[in-house]
Amino acid sequence: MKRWYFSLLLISVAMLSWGVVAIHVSPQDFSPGSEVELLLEVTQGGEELATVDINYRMSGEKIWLIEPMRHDSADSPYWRGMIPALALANNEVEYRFDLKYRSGMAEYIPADSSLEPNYFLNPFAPQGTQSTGFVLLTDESSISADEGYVLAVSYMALLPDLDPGSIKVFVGGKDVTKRSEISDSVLLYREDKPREGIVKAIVTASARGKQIYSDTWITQVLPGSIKRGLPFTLRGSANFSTNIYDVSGDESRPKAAENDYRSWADLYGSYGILDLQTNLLISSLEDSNRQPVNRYTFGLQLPYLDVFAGDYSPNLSKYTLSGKNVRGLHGKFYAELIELSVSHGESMRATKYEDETFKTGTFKQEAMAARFRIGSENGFMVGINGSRHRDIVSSLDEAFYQYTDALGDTVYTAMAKDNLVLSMDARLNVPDQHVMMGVEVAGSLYNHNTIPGPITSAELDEYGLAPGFAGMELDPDSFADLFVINKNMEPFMPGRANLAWNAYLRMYLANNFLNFEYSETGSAFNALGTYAQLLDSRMLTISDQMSLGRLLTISASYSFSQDNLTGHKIETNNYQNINAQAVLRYPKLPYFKTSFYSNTGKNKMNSDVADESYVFSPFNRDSMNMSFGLGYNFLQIPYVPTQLDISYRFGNDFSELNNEGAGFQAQTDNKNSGISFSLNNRYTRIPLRTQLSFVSSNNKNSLDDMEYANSSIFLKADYSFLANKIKPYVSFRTTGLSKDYGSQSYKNYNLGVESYPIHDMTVTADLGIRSYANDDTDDVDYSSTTFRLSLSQRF
Amino acid sequence: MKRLCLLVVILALAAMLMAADTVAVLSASKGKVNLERNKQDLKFKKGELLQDQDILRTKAESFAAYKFIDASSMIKLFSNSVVTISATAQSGKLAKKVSVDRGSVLASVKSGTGAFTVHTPTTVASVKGTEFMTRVDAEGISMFTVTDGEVEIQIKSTGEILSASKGKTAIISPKGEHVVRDSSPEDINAIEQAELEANQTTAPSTIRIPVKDEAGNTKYIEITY
Repeated sequence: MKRWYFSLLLISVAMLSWGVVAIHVSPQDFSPGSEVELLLEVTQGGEELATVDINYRMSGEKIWLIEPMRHDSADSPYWRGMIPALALANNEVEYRFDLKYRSGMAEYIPADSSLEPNYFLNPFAPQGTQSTGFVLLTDESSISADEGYVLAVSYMALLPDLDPGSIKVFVGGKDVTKRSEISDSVLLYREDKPREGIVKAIVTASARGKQIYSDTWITQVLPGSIKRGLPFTLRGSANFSTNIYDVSGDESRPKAAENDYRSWADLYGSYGILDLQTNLLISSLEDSNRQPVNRYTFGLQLPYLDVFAGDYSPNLSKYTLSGKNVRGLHGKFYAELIELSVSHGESMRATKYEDETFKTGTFKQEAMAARFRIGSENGFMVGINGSRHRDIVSSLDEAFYQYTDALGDTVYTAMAKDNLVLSMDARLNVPDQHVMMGVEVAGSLYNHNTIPGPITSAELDEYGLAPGFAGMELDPDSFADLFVINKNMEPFMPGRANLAWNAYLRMYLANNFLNFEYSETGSAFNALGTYAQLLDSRMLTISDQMSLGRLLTISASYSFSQDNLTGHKIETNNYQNINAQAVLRYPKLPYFKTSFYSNTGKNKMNSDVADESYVFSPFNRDSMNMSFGLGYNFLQIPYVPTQLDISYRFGNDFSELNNEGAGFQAQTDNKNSGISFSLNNRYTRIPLRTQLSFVSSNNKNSLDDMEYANSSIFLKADYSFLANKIKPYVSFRTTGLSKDYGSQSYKNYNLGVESYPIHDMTVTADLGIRSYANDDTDDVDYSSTTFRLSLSQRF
Repeated sequence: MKRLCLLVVILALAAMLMAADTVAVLSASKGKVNLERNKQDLKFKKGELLQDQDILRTKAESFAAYKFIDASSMIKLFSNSVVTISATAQSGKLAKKVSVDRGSVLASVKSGTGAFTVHTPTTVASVKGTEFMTRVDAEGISMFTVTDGEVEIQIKSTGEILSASKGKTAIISPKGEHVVRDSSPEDINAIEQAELEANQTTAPSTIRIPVKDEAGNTKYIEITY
């Protein structure tokens, strides 16, 4: 896709699906050698989020690196994260947000639809002022790779103001300060085996406490005549953290969490056409009788082959295997016109639970999936997909899933499931026209208890289906290796309810990213390899994102959903969602943002299902939220550049029900409003950074005539010593609940220190004290202490 | 007394440290080139940081070039040359000195960048923004061919000062006899020839250009240079 095409949505992209609505105003540029702070404001559905990570990589690289984001507080819309300075040299950086929901679902902002661009950060002038005092002594515009790349820079003219210890050297997108020879007046960086291509170099330093930077020097490295071994590059991090908890207070205090430690490492290497990755996570919370916490993945990628072993979440197709972890082996062979993907492993582990009176457990669940694609992803392609998820009955002792009661009946305490999904998808992609359309049709079989085994001939007789199942000459027993057929199938006779399909059209047209999607999911469609589908429903989604260069981005979506797809229920529920957002930003001026979210719903009688005894009770629901905000980076303020973001929200949630013809009565009638405010200061004369955020919200329930209010304030300050080697910090957060909540408050104090003892290593120690006070209820006050130690080495 | 000794030792160490400051960067070398520091030959690569009193020697069919750290000047040593590099900081600028014991040295100097002198066994040449070739032959005859700007040459034995401007060549014998004349085509050719030799790489390069014949077969044209 053309480069300009990607650059259209640098400012903001809205969330248009699932449950959250978020606004992000991309910084667009970065200063080499400085980290970039990213702010994500979740204006709707934030309570559904479990974690948010930043995925970033240098443009053109395959592997995404991960940085976690921090939520300001449970009631705050702000999530903050940082792309480390190590990654930000003088190459373009691409990033996106990875949102994980409490339900286990995950998605990206911008959506991973292959048509929408991710966010990009472009190298900008470093912080401070440009200085001509850096003089390049090696000024050849092109060199042969045989000669080696040499960067020699004199800063004699800047002496004695310049602090040689503050010099940073960036070459080819990397911070190479550590590998540079820095003397009193000259620095030298040498690369004996440079790669062909354009090499950019820049130097930053501080002189008299002010940041200065050099020109960007460009050298073309021409191919050499000497054949060299391919360079092996390795990136990633190794980390360790431990948490120690304690709680003290009244008897009804909450329990202290279990102390824990975790070590994890993410390694990404490349050697020519070979990319390797290893991800390891070891936690003290791992327990063989719980689902795995530890994670390990080893991956290998070649131009036509991807192989992953261990924990991996493949995306084969929307209805077969998508985004769910499978611990096993995954292979994908692909070429322009063909692809074969296979996954096999364990999606659930066997666990046992036992107390004095009760035994139960979880079966080991085996997952198998395959996809065969023929045709080009950049043209027309057809895919055939299948997945099977089966609980392995032999993975548990019988005592943990069934017993015989006093009447001699078998009682199941755990049931083994069997699920088979087959789907076919087709897609037409016309990259030149920026148009993509596709469809997937899937059918599933689901058995909620396979323990009794396949249905017998005698049982089939009872159903009048002998001699073959479903009129076919098929013996359920011989079919059992693939799928267990018995009376626990849902439904017993497969039909239209077992089907699901969706179709979509995406296009880029006159600065608009348009997306039309329609889906229907039968009431008996089950796919254990994907996250919950909304059963027995149809859904239409239309969305658009429009950009006017970098100035204005508007996104809007409309979705309509309706249940009772099969028409067998007396009532049909309809819901409509409308979501719109806009971000206006003119360079060097404040940005303005607004969002609107509306949800309306009503039910209606289904006249096709005749039931005169049924009393229809119509309901209406109407909820709405709107927010306005602005932000600005006040670089003009002397000594204290200030980054401001402020938003005001308001909304209502109203529903009414006409219960058995008694007339409409309100069921909910809430009005809410709130303001959120974030202020970041990075002082220029002293290495001090402060952060202030304030969130206040008010909710009025007119039905009960109750009013609830809460507000929280977060303050943080950190100060760097010893040339940024040690950074102590202190933070305070208070959350107060008032009005009809009664008078309650939470206070959090954190005292910590971040230190950087060696290059790219961070050691953080944090002591947090949290106290809860309730002025209206006795015996519930408590305080808790958390000590956290973490160590991270990036490379 | 002890304090005095200590002070002397500190001053001596400081002087050594100061003397060890980088004054130039080796920007190119080809063929057999020696770098001598403190009477020891050093292994070096392109980009080597050169220190005060370092000596560069080029053998036959060899070449070296360096730049002073104030980026004011580029010095090229052609075959069979010996040069001692030195520089000192003066009033925030670098006073540069190139001592040519023998051989051919081309100096390109920007104006207004501090003192720049070229020393031969018999002369001291001062320049302010110019380009000129200095040659010292086996008999000790110094020869300055100026291609740009102007050079002032002081004869060490007599103190006499000569001036050579663009297009002139000054020749000074070990006894101080001298002549300033128009540069001959041979003088200019000597500079051009030396530069040409310096630009030649030791290993030939080859470019392969694929072409298709009438039958559609791919064939290659190889150009070795």
